[in-house]
Formats: sequence, C-alpha cells, structure tokens
Amino acid sequence: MMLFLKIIFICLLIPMAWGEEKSNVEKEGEILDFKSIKEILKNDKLEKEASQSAGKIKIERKKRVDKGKNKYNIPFEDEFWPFFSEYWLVKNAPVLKWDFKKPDYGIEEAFETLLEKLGHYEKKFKIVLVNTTSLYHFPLPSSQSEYIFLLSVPFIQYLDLSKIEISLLLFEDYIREKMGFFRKKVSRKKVEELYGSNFEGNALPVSEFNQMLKDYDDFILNKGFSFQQQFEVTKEMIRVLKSEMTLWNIYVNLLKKLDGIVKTENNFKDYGKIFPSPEIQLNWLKVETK
Amino acid sequence: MIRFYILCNLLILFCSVCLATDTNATGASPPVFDQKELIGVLYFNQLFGQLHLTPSRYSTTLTAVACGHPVKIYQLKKQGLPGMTIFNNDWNYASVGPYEGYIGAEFLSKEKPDCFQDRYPKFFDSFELDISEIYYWGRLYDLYLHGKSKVK
Repeated sequence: MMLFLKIIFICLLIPMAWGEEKSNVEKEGEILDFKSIKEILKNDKLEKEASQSAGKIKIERKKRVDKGKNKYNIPFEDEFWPFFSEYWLVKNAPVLKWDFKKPDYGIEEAFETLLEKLGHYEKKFKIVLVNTTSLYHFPLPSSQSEYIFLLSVPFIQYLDLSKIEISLLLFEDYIREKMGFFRKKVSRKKVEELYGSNFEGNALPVSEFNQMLKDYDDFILNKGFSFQQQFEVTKEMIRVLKSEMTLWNIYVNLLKKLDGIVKTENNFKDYGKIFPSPEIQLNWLKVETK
Repeated sequence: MIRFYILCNLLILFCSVCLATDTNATGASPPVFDQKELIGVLYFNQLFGQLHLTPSRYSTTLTAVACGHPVKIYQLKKQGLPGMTIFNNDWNYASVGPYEGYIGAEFLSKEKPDCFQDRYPKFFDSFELDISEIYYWGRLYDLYLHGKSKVK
C-alpha cells in the first residue's frame, strides 16, 4: 500500500516540477552567451538575429517569473466572499448540520417565482437547509451575481410555513444581504486592503481570516441585526409589498407567526435577538397602513 | 499545490475507508447494466464535488473530485434496451481514477474550467483544508438547492 502511495505521489510531482522548468528558449540562451561572441556576430552580420533571440529569452523569462508571481494573487472582493462564506459553512458543518437527508420542498421554485413577481430578474441563489434550531434563516455574503441563504428545516416545520411564506422570509434576507449589514460587520480592514493584490514575499494575515470566522459565528448565532438595520429592511419590505396586497397580507401573517413563537416557544426565543423584533416590525407595518 | 494533491489522494483513501465501513450506506443498489461505452471526457467545474455509488445526492461517496479534474463519461447498455447516459434526471455514469460511479451532470463542462484553486493557488493553500473539509466542501455542492430567476 505504501509503495502504491509513493508511486502516486512521485507521478504527481513530476508534471508539477516540469511546470516550474525554464523554457527551451531560455535554456538555449544560457548556453549561448551573445555578449561574449559579440565581435564574431558583428563580423558575420548576425547582430540582428542575436538581438531578436535575446529579446525572446527576456520575454520567456518574464513570463516564467510572472507565472510564479501570479500564484500569489489574492481574489477580488467578488470572488473572496463566496469562497469565504463556503469556507465558514464547511468549517461549521457539524454545528450547522446541513449534511442530512431532506425531502424536496420545492422552495427554490417558489423563491424564483417570487423574485420574478417582484421584478428581481436573473438572480442566482443557493439555499443551504440546516437541521438545527441554533439558527433560523440567514443570508451569507457572496458574489454580486449570486446569493447564499441558510434556512432551518425544524424552524420552517415548526411554524408550518407555506412555500410563499418561506419565500418572503428569504426575500427579507435577500434585502438584508443587498444592504450589506452583515458583510460590513464581519469584514476586516487588513483583508479589504488585500483584495485583488499579490502577496509574494509576504505572509497572508491568517489570523484575520480566523477572526472573521469567529465574527461570522458571533453575528449569526448570537448578536444578530440591530433595530436600525431591521427598520431599514422592514422599510424596504413595505416599499416593495405595498402594491402587492396578497403578498402584504401573507407577510403580516408571517410576522405574527414569528412574534408568536418568540413569545411562547423556548426553542425559538432567541429569534428576536437575531432579528429584533417581529412585534416591532408589525408596529412599523401598522404605522404604514394608517 | 503539492499539499493539495497529497490531500486529494489521502481523501480517496479516506472515502474508500468510509465506503468500506459505512453500514448505513444511503441510496438504492446501483443499477445493473451489461456493458459500458466511453462517450467522452468532461471536466468537473465546481470547487469540489463527489462521485457517488448511485445516482442520488444522498448516496454513498466513492471519492472526491476537485475543480478541473477530467471525468470519463460512459453510456451504459443493457441487452434489448437503448443505451443510457443520464440517470435519475441529472446524473452521469463516470469514472474518476480507479472509481466508477455517478456524478451530477450540472457540475461537468466540455471545456476545462477556470478554477478558483488554479487562479489563486497560494491563497487557497493558505487555508490548509484537511481531508474532512474537502469532503464537506464537495458535499455542500451536492446538497445546495440552486435557483435562478428568469431573464425579464
């Protein structure tokens, strides 16, 4: 078995070593030192060819150096966030319990329909269903063209939410993510400065990434959004749903359900801590309808 | 990068052990066919993924696949029946290294993809993913519910 592993390892190393090698043009350049045979070249009127060859070698060398340097590139913000959010999901897989078998609820089709109805076209999204009540629903930062949502199955089952109610909950999260509250809170200046740069010769600030992971945990599982942030989200929901009476009524009922569990169910009492609070959201809605 | 390749090989071993010890393997028995015919090579286009025993996202994992990995796709034939390339709506029968099983067709492309781990290899390496994390990353892509609202 060990011999088999060694063979695989060596086979994998050989092509990688080749990738780092100098090109043939460069090797020829090392053998032929054009400077030392300058006079001979001059006599043979080969100066032009020699200068062209030297130019080629220079380009090849630059390419190789660039290729080496490019390995240290750091993604731009738009690629960093989806990678990092997924990294957090992977790191927390045992806690979040998303690796479980679940029925097909048809949530993605319902949410697609709602987005289209509300005029949000060509929006890609991924939903991660979790089998825990340590979180309820949450939008994770991703790229500009894609959204990642977390959704607790015990939570939607306990509330007996319909597909349209779940879609409205996801739409609230969609607005939260667009407003960038969470992203701004967990982002770190040292990491922001690195977007799209190159770290050759420097160490990556790994401790900053680790801190970001902790900040993800803290925000999603403990702290949650502020009243002001909730007000901004609710204001936007009001603006969007005002002209859609059916959806408006479903949204009001959804908030009533949420208010109910926050007040009566021990398992979900922290909902109001993460999303403060359904009761106050209902009041903001009432003010709007007066 | 070297670390990554070593990890991938270790992961193959890890998955083999899981397969050997998984007494609660999910998914039905793999479909039985008389013969298979290679129809082409496609490339895996997500960060990580998994090859499954049966055409189901919940079935036992045979091995992990990383972005850009070539995957051989087969048509399966049974006497008296037309050949099949798509199973359970969206799965291809494929081989990855010494393993043969099913892989999500949506994760395969004809062209070699421009992979995140190839574009940012040193950045990617600095996260020092271990075997279980690579496994979970592939699992995550299998379990995501995907959607996209239409063009106006």
